Amino acid sequence: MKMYNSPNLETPIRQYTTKKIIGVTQTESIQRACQKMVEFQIGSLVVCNKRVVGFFTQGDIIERVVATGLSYAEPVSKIMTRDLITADIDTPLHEVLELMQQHQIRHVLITEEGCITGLFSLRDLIDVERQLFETTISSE
Amino acid sequence: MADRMRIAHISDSHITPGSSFSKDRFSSIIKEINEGPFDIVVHTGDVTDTGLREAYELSRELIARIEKPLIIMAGNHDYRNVGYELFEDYFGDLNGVYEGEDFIVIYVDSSIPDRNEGRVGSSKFAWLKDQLIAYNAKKVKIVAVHHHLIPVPKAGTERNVLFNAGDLMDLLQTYDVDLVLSGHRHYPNVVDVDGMVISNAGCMSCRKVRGGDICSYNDIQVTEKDISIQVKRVNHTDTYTSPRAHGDIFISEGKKLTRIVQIAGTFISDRKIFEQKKFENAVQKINALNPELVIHCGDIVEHGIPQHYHLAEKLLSTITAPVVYTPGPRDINYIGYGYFPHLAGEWDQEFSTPLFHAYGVKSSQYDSDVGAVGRFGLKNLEKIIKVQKEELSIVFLHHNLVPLPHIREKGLLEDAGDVLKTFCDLQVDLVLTGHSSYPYALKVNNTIISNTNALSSKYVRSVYGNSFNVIDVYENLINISEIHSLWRTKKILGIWKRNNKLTHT
Repeated sequence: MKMYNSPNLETPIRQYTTKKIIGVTQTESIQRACQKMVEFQIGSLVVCNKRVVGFFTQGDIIERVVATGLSYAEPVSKIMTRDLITADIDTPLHEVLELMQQHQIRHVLITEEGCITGLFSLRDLIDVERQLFETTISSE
Repeated sequence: MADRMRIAHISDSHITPGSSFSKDRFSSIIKEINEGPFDIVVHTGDVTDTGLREAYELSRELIARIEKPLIIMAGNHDYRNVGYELFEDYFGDLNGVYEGEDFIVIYVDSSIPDRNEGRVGSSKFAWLKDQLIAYNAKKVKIVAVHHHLIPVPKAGTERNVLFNAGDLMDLLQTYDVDLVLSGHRHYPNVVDVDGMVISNAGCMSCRKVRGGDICSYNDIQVTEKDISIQVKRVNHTDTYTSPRAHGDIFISEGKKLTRIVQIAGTFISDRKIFEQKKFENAVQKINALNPELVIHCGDIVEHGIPQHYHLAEKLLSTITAPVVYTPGPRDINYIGYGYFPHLAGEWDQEFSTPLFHAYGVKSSQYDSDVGAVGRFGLKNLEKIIKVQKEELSIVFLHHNLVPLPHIREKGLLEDAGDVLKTFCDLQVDLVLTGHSSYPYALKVNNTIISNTNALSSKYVRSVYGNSFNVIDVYENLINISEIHSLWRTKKILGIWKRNNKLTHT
């Protein structure tokens, strides 16, 4: 028995977007940022300086901090990705997936009228609750 | 978008040649609307009182006086006497889409012949979802449905509900609907549910107003910045303003002030419905989380019988943090009403720290699924909360106050509308409930409402299985997460800034 249905690729990414996202300021230390990831059990953080200026993921920590031996006291601005890959919240799911495939990434920042307001992670695709809106109480 | 859009939201005109219709009030509201700068008029149903042809004839004549673009919907009264056969002849489609340059109004029929309850069944639900997808990019998204989504105050016993209100609300939230228009309960009400404003219009011209109220309509203004709703009565106007925002970035949580664990539906029993392994794993995790308080929102045991209570006493003693309880219906059935005080103590328990005060409210009734808080208890609680010294107020009860997804909504808390309104007006920070085995959290006005799943019952409604909620309160925000009872994995249900949102003048 399965609960999971293949997602409709034409669905706007809005349906899968996490609209409340957690961030740090760019002067925050790498260690403090990691503690925040653990505290909220999340795999990525946006970096803000009034607006979003960067983004990094658990993968970036492994690659840019642990593997290189960078001090955990360094600010997150040293390791964050500055060239942000974004998609508008009205973009169909298949276009977002193509973008992710093209850039080999697992997270995309979601924008509304040019401002970053959400995050889409590949993990959100397997969240059955985001597909299963309706309890079939009646077929009317 | 244009600088602003203006909507006249009317409802429940109950037009009939009989005496329940107030033609004077109808005419004065129509005059105001015709003279006002409205872009559109939305009538959210119960146009007629009886659904009879004579009522439809009179309605057509009177409604024709509206000189603005008009959406007119059917309500349960229009369905009476098989009136749904007439509605489309007189007023057009029951479901549809009105497309403006920057906005969209999707109206969906929720009535059922000869029933006062409502539903948006599978085919209409799928149609609504398709419309939300098709018009996803519109700057202002408005959905109109006759039946209320959120319990309305001063409307008497909570009944005649929309069976799938929770599913509908979840869908509308996901698609960032800005405004929901409803009627049905004959009392005006405006709430902000996590950035989605719900406008319930009162009676436009029906004499059956509630609690000595008078007829009214809602004057709605939507701008880039906010949604402002004026509930207009002849002699008085209430204004509610809510900022328009769906996304939030949380930069600084500040210092963690407290952690509270919320559990329900342990269903402790000597039968297989009780999953002891899940209970034990969950307790291990709860102890590791080291909360300041554990709040059990009821359905402690499967049945209120000695064997189940004896086992509960033994198992619940393994939780190391202080635990407060409020009973669910199962806890007081049979002779549970005698055992609950022995296990837990007072019916309405309290717990306070220098930061918060938590108040338990018994909502369960003997041998009944239906719950009630009651006006007497609510008034007492109101007095106590008003003078509390602690910064944070928490109320816990068993029955859910807002509709939950994946539940057939039955309006099981009799006075849900008044209870919700009281808690919101008191600016209670957290309301914790534990009904229907589904984890869900949202913010209504300034009050966060969190319902928790069953912790260790075999019967679940969440596809993830059993879980409990952990509530972390920081200086700047509150985070509620769901933790799986068996695997102990964590999933955020909601994060909110600790600030004020809706203003009422």
